[in-house]
Amino acid sequence: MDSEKQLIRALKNEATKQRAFKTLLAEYKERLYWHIRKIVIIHEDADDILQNTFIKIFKNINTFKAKSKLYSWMYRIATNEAITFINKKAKKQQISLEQLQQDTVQNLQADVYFNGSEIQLRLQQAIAKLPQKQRLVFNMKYFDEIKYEDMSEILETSVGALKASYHHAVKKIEAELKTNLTD
Amino acid sequence: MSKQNKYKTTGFQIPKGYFSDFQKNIAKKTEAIHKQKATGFSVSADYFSTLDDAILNKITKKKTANKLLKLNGISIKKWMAVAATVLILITLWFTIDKKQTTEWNNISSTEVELWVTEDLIEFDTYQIFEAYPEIDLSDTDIFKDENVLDYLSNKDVELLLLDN
Repeated sequence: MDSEKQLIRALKNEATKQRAFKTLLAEYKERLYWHIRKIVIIHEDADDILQNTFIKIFKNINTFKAKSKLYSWMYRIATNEAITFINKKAKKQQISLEQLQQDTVQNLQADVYFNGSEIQLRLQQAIAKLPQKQRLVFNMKYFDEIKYEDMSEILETSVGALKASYHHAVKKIEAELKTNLTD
Repeated sequence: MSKQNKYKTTGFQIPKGYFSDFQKNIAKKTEAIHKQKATGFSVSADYFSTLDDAILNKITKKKTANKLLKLNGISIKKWMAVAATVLILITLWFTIDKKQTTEWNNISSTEVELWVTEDLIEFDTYQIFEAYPEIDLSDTDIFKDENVLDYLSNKDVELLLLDN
């Protein structure tokens, strides 16, 4: 916690900002990348969003009031950037968000940056069918094992609501995978 | 009897090097479990090593661009916004105002009369009242009962009909 305070102080000081930012990049780039990638699925999109996220963090670090953890604040920016991106993409293509997610996942097999097994592909297809919030919660809990308390700070949602979302998501995925297996 | 002796007495044996390999085996299994939870997404081998420079370059470029885009400490964007506002105001002054005057002058009194008799008649009093809520008819002096009665008593009804 103290090291986080020091890092924030360094980020807010013009003389030490660049160096502190490099530390921040080294510490969080991979975690944020995988978080974004699970939302947008395509590597090139995730790369754009990740870069924009870090630029936003750099530009707005002085407005960070430390009411939440730095990590939660950064995750919140990344989540918002990713969601805004896919919403715009769906609007541009004049399709629903659900349709966009399903189309993107359908093309995963041809993606050079996807080397998952048959099961992993099916899991991604099932996740794509979830409503946006449930999809987010499922990814953060199942893959990243983020604590509900931290997730609550990031998504600004109560722990109870998050638990309910995760529960519904798991049930839907189970049902979807069972249907797939019997087909 | 010590625990060690107890084990010795069971006669069970373990393969050679079992405990030394145990940790490695467990690590492999936990890795496999972790892999099961993996998404299957991947990135190019050098992606994360080149990412820092890509982001830092963008930040430096933006900073330089921002400095260049300032004139007397005010950004070009703000100057452009001010210029656009002035341009819009000038356009409005010379076009819309003129247009309205010209159009009003072009309307003949006959056209106004026709509109009143043919179109305005389509509206009932309730619709007119709805269209002009800011006008309170009860406050106007000319519609006070005594004024109307005075007017009618002093006026010849026949002349009144001729006037209208």
